[in-house]
Amino acid sequence: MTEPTGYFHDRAAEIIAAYGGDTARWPDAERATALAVIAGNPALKAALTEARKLDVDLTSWACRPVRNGDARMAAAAAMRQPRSFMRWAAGGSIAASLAAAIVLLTPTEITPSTAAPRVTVATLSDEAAFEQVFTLTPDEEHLL
Amino acid sequence: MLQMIDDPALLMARVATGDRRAFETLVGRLYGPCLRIATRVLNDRTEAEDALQGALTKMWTEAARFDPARGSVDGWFRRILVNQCLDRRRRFKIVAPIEAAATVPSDLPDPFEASVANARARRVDAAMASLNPRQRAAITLFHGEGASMAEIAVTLETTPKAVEGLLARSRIELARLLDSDRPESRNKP
Repeated sequence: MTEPTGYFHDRAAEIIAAYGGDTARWPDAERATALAVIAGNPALKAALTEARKLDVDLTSWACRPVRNGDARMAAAAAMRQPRSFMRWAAGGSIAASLAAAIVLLTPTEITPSTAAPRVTVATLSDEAAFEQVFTLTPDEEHLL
Repeated sequence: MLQMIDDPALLMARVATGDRRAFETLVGRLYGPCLRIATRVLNDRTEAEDALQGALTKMWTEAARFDPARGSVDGWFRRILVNQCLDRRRRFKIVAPIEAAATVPSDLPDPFEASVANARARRVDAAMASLNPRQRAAITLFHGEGASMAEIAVTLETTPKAVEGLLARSRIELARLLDSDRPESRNKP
């Protein structure tokens, strides 16, 4: 089965439009066919000539040198940013520090807000402690 | 020692371990050509420097992500750079000034020829400014860097066929703009 002539014509036009006039940069598999089609078609020949003129403009635009920048300064600025694993490590160490701080600062026993009974009870004998707890004070006596 | 290492992939492997001198050596190699690419894509020198700085920072912080089995250092970095350029354009929607034609250098000895060349360069600059950054990126990579359709497709994260279409539309648009700007075209009734 052969491809219709219109297909080759359209494809040759597409190749010129996309790749320009430098045939060395055309797709290897299509170059010979495209060149043969162009050779027999004045409109495509003219398109190829125009494409080569445009190539000159585009190449000189794309290759035009730019004023030099400071590569060393740019490298130094880039290296001021922490690297990925360093960022992860930094984040991890902050989290670990916070966890350690919470553990260390959390009291291991609850300190009672009224310390008197504990201190007193610890220094009294059982009988004295019983007496202190169950002996009425003057304020309590009037309640009976 | 590092001056003797010529393989960017080897330098990149050192960068991944945090070797600052390897990074400086690599930046020295990439900086000039990449600044030119960014300047062409963005059509603005200051924006180009910022985009390149962003790309270099990414290369330093994400060095461990580079996989030599998936392509060259140049190709990997070019993709980061072009993405930075396109992202900047999406964020800031800048209308870039066209570089002053007076700054276009010319090595032509004849002042008249130099003047004609400068005028032509100015017309090309004006036409290029009307394209979008993605189109300028494709033209820069194809005509400036000699990249193949497949390489451009990797950089722009698309297919070679789509790059063909992008380049064809860009060239047709440029040809129309340059043709309409010719003196003989302007004089037509």
